[in-house]
Amino acid sequence: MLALPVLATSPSFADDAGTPAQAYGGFTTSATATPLRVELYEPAIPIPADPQLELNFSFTHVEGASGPASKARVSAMWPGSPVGEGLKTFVTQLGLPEQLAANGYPVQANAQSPGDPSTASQEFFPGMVGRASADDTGAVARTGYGLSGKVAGDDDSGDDDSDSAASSNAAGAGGLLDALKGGDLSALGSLLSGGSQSHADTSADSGNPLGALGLLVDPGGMSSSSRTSYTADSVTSVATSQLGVVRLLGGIVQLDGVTVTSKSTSSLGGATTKPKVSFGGLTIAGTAFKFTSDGIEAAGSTTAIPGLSDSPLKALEQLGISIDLTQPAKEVDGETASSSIAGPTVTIDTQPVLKLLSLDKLPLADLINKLPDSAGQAKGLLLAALEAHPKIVLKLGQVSSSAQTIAPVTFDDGGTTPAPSTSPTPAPDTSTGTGGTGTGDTGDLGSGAPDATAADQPAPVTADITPTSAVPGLPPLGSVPGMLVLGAVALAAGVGWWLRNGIAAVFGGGASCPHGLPSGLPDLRKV
Amino acid sequence: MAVPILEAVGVRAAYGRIEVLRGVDLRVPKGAVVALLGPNGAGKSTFLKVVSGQMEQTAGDVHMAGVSVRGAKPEELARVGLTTVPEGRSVFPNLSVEENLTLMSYAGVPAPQVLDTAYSYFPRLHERRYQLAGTMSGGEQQMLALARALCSDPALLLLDELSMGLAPLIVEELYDTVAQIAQSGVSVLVVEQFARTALRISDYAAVMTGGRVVATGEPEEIRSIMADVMLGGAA
Repeated sequence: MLALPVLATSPSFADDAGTPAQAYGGFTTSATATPLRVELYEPAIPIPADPQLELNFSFTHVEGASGPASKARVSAMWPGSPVGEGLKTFVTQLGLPEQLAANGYPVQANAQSPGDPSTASQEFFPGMVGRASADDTGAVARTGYGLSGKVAGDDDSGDDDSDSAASSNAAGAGGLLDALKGGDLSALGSLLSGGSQSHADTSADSGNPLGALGLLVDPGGMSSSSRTSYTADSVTSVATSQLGVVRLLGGIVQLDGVTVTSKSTSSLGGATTKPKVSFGGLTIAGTAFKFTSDGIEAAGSTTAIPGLSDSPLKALEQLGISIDLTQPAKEVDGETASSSIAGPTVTIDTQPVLKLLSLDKLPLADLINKLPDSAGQAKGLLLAALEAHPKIVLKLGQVSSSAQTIAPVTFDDGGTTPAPSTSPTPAPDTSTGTGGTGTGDTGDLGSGAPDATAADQPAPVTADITPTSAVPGLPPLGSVPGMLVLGAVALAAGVGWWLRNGIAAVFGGGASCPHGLPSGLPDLRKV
Repeated sequence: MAVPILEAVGVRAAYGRIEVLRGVDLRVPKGAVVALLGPNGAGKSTFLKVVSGQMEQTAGDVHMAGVSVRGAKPEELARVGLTTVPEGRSVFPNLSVEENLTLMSYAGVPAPQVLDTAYSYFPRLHERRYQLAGTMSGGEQQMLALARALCSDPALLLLDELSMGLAPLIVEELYDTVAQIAQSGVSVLVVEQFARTALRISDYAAVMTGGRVVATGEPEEIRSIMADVMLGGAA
């Protein structure tokens, strides 16, 4: 029912090339990118979403649909739709002043078309600007910043510098590595809690948005862009996340120049999607590695990460920390394509870590109880949070994109028959060697443009109408088989009616309501 | 006592493990305007979703004209005369006003009749009939949503936060139209966070907090106890 109006307002692009491009009837497309996504899973948090909390740093999102309607959003820190869109509800529920959310979530800029504004920008904080724009041909959102004024692609991520940086980081993390090899878990605990480890201080000074978690993941700079565009015959969406130097686990693992891209394109000829992750380099415990198609390669041989014994990883497992390279999710189905991918993912089960942090020794409950009673619900939540042990997932370079087009509904001169969406009839075995499209698609989706080889094609279906009674598969109406078919249809209708209406009465369905009222659907207009 | 067009008995509903409705009892007499008031998060919109079949209750029953409609689908309820105007208007932003209205002809009412009905209630929509709905003001979009609902010939109209994000003058104007609709015999259940305007046109009112109806009565009665109830005094 909604398809027709959608089709009626599909974009009418000029076919400037004069080629018989197969214009689609409608489309949807979207792209989302965030270089650093933090997910928090804690069922005790009363937010009806999974994960319960999320933070997307340098977040960009665009979407487009038939119309064309375009939207773009950029945010330095997007808390996900439940909180970002419904901040006012949460503020009210927590008993906080409504003025806090009077204008919605503040750290974002949005653009839309049709509507206002079609372009928007915001300087979230000095050095970080987000820009969003939307028009009839697409939407773009982009933002980025460097924690130390350097973003991905800056010169200091070059080989020489990164090697020296890796060495210094490895040196800084050497104590931690040695301790973990020796099975001393308290070393990481003291680091996380801001102990004497010098690198922890350095990390904190760098302004890492993750605070104490910055020791586990320290992104040196990040940027993202999401873009979608529509042409006469195809739609494309691209999401890109870039990170500069990423240090994991206090510098034990260092990734240089992480770029994650997802690109989806759709046209009536089909759809494609391509997720891609690339790292400039990888350093583990001071040893440089590189990624190849066979895995991680060091000193010319593919090994299971030489120089790094199992003990640190096992020790980290005991701490509830794991690092994974996630597999891309990719789906292509006809004219629909979508993919999502992320770089390395760090998962932290905080239960063992919180024990190491010795939070129970801090007077947090006393501090929370000192909050005014007017923030009663917030107090309750904070106290509950002390008992919580959430799972935290840090995803580096999360991107996703999707694109879908659908064929237009066309009518022949008779005005009744929709055009087929693809070519269901077998292509005639010709060897004309015209070097045409090469796609093997013989279905003309109603563009009306006569092909140069039209004379060789079978005559149009409308010129060769076959009597209904002669259509293979259906018996003549007056024949015995025909009567049997009609009888079977009538019997099926009768059984269907009985199942719908009679069975309720037989099994007491007419009085299924515990209040003794009948069940059904009354015509409210006639009561 | 006449059978109410809508009666909720002990309706409970939840989003996953979070129970939002904790036993809602409410009656809407035929031809009446009932205002369901309450603070943000009280469960009002969830209740409308249950009544309109968009969400299944976990316990309790919804009766319409003395018949249990448990398990009925939204489209089935719409077909028998239940119409919802959701929060946020949900107009098609890329279609013109006239195209938005013409869509309603797919429900079976001829397009000219749909347009006549809409423009007679809201002459301003006629002035804007070729304008894209997405480019109209919030008040005009709400008019369009309401007009579209009227074109389905409703017997029971559910209005969710009609005043959301609108200027007070526009809200007054919209509620005047709701009163006019009610006079034509349509039963109306208005869910509102801002009580004053809704109470002005209501025959009855109920206050909901924490997933329960904590007070019902005549508008004057509710107005006098509103502050106490909303702040938890009657809970």
